[in-house]
Amino acid sequence: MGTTLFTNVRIFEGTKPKLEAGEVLIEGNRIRKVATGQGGRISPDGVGEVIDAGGATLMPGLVNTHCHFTYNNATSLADITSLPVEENLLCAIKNVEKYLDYGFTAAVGMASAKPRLEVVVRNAVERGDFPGPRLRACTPEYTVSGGVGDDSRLDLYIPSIGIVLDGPDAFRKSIRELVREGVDIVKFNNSGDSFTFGRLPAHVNPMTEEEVRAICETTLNLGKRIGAHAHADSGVRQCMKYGVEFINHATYASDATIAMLAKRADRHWVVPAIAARYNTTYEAGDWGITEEVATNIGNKRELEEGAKTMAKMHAAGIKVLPFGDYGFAWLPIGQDCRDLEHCVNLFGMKPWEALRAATAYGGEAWAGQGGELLGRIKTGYLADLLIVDGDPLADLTILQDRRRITAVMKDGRFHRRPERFAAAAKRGKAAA
Amino acid sequence: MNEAPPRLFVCGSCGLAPRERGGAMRSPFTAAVAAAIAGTGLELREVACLNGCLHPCNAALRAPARATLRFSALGPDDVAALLAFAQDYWRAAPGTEAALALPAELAARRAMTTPPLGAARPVRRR
Repeated sequence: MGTTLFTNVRIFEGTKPKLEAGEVLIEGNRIRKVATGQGGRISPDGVGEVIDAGGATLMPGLVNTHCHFTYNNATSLADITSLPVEENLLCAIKNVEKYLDYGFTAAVGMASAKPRLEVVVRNAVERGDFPGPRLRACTPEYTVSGGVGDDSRLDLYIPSIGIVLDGPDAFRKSIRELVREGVDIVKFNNSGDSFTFGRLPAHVNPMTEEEVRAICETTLNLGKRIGAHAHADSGVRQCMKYGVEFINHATYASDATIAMLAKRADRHWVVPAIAARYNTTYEAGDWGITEEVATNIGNKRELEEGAKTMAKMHAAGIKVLPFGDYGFAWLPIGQDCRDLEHCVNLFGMKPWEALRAATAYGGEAWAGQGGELLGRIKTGYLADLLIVDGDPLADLTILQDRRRITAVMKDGRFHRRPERFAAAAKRGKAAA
Repeated sequence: MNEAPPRLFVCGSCGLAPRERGGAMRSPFTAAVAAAIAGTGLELREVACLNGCLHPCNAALRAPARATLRFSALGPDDVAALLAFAQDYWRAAPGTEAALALPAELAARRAMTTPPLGAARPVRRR
């Protein structure tokens, strides 16, 4: 079994607030040993490769729990839908390699652009056909007539990025079909969104209780997991009631709902995907969305309310995770680590807490009940890790710069070897 | 709270064809910034995108409790002025940076000003 020993590193373990000088031994695809502090030495005898990282940071690989790896950085949902499946697959292949390049060693799909696309890409990455993070494959978004993703009108049919159905039985049948195709996650939209450009506001829930129950019962009965586009307070409550693990957005969760969720914090992850609000409000001018337009369609209010809600949730001990919804023109894939800034600036997290959410918590979320160990630098955990030139706890923005991520290891194998960007290897010894 | 080093964000995609992005290539503007930034006290953050795609090249200044300023349509000739202004941005007291006078080269290039938002506490610079 191949072994790699990283020496002269400062370790971000995934759950601790400070870096620790030490060494890490990889054997096969697992972390075999971590040595820090006074005993921070591992014998190099018999080790296949010893890498002196020159004082760089060694940290767990990033985990994206709301990943649209099949999206094409388009300006609208309709533009994503109109991309033929063949071209969409080529785009997705490039996207997953880009994600791995940017340090994402694991990702949970949270709405596929085409019914089988995420399944196909997940399987191909697992076989080693092309590089990418370890993936959980999701269905397209399940939505109702008039819901988010249904852009049709009575006089004009527009294909949806989602699957538009009405009534419990329709959802049951379709979910069974897509589970047959191999999905891991079923996603549904039990709230509106300003991306409907005012037609269905985010605080409105267009799904009935019976529809949500049917979606969740069918999915859980088949042993699969669930994510919901749940801005609305009633949507968040439905998520808790019916076992939805990934509660996306949760913008309008009331204080009472937050208190309920805090008591169940071990069963749910909240993924606000706030960049879709922030960038649409302030940085989409080149695409005709000024701050005034963003205000009129309700996006700015989603940003402001979402930030307040996430700050309360984080303070209440709920696991709020970064990343999500990148894959549009004004929040393109590759920009994802900017979410770490939002966690600090908008949600009140300390930098190490943002990084914990991006690694250790993300790893727990990816694994779910499956029990796989990832997201920490700890003995027995999967060897998904990064070498970073600099201290991300002092400055999270380092992780937005691909040149500062000098090595990416997934499953004990290098995707990017440290010598490709040699800056860290030339630095001096780590401080004790 | 640890105080992050002063930094300048530069888009790593502007000025490059899609097939050139993500590798070792840099646009002439980014290369000029990388060459000139040493000794200024600033750190370069070469990021995937700054959302100014229609007007390359782009650079931005942002920090907790400070306004975000983005400049577009930048070229190698603008680098000296940009670096000088970036140093002024970081020296300014938090909250005053949006009112700083712009050098002539940048006056027409400021594409976006976003006020500081949310929970961050002001960073005090010594």
